[in-house]
Amino acid sequence: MTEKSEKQDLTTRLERLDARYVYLFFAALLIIPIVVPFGLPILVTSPTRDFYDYVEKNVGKGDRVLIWGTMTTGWWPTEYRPSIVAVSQHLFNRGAKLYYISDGAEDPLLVDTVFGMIDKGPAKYGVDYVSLGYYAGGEVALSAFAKDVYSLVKTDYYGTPVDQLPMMKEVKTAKDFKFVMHVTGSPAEWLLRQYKTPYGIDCGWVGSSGMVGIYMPYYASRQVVGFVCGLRGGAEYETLMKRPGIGLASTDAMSAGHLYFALIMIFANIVYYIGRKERKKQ
Amino acid sequence: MSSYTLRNQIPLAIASLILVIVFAEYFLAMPKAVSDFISGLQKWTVILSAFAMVLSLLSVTRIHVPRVMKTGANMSDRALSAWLLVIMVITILVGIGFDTPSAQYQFIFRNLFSPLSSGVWAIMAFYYCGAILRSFRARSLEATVLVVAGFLVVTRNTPVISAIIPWWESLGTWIMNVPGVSGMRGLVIGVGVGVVAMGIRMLLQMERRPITGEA
Repeated sequence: MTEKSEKQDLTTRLERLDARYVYLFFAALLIIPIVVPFGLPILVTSPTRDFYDYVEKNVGKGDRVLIWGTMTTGWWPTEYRPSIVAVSQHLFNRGAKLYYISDGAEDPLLVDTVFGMIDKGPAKYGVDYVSLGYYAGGEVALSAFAKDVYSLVKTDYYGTPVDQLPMMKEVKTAKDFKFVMHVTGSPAEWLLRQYKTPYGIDCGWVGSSGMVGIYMPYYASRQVVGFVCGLRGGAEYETLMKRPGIGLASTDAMSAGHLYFALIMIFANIVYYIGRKERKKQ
Repeated sequence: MSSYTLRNQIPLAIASLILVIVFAEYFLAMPKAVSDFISGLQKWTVILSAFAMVLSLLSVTRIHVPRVMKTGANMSDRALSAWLLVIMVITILVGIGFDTPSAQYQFIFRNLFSPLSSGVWAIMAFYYCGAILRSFRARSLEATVLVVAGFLVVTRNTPVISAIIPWWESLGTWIMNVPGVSGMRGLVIGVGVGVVAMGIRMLLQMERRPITGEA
């Protein structure tokens, strides 16, 4: 076999490489950093820093914060959990009163998980934080809640009538909230249309990493105070809080996975380029 | 009154009237009666949306029950459909019987639904891997733009690269903030104008498709 045909044979074999080896190596790259963290560095991006700074400087004891969820369980472990846990912890630390409500059927159960993962300190359910459950209707429900809280919400998620919850006596409309955040992976503008524009309430997003490009125009125009997106956003927020959690623990795996994707891109294109050149020579 | 009027004109007139009222209420200070009427409409929407769940439940049942009953069909398809229906009925019964915050329902959610749902999404990462390896190649100018953009996004979103090479993060941020934001703004404004145009067409009854299906 000549050198030329050997080279061609190699590129053909590489082009037809069994994907299972690639998957196996990828799985190993994701698992190893979780078991043995490398402690790779992380840079905090400006939307996350601005969100953190806003909460730090503007949200204080007794300030009411509405957290509207449109989450999905599939994305929960990586896209939402690190960010919502870190942000909720920060808000609890600041002494804010937190009102969780959602238009995602699975969200109340996820909110329960959040309650179980954070240090609530002396905060009491019904006095300092509440889970108001799930309401269908998406943006319409968000709007109905803004206009008249009691027209939409009669009981909390656990079936307690809202008039028996002390913190619910403090809210009637959107105007009673200091800050509203939407935890979502899809519709970005609901919050602006229903809270920012009509009531002038400060808004922020906790979203999936794919939403960064969608959120950026609103952040650039300062319509939102900032946003915390995906696993990386959660890790950045944990860095700012100096409280490592699930986000930072998973960041090494994320870095390894993304680097692997980048390397595969380069590798696949080099092999393709050499193969094409060889084929043209023939 | 003709059946055409009953079927088409009246629903269109109601839709147009409600559109005007809701639109006006958003921008103008309206009497309390109007605001209360809008609140009522919103409550209807929330309730109707909740009924969409019932519709999806019926739809799943309608598709899978005949599949299970069909003799001579693929055995594994029948078994999977039967499994789906059994799990669905169990989850509904536990939800209704014990309520969703109960330990029983939480058990199903935390130990069955949540890992399965997350697992499905996690598998996507392997599909990405395979897709990058097999298809993400600079075969043409358009494909090269896609490959370069993909490479930039992946590396910009890699925490360790941003930390080690800060200018790479700055480059990514510039791309996001300048060309990205400009493109997105164009898109958002375009969609906004389109929605307004569609609203006006509906108000003028020029847009009948949502109700009548005719152009």
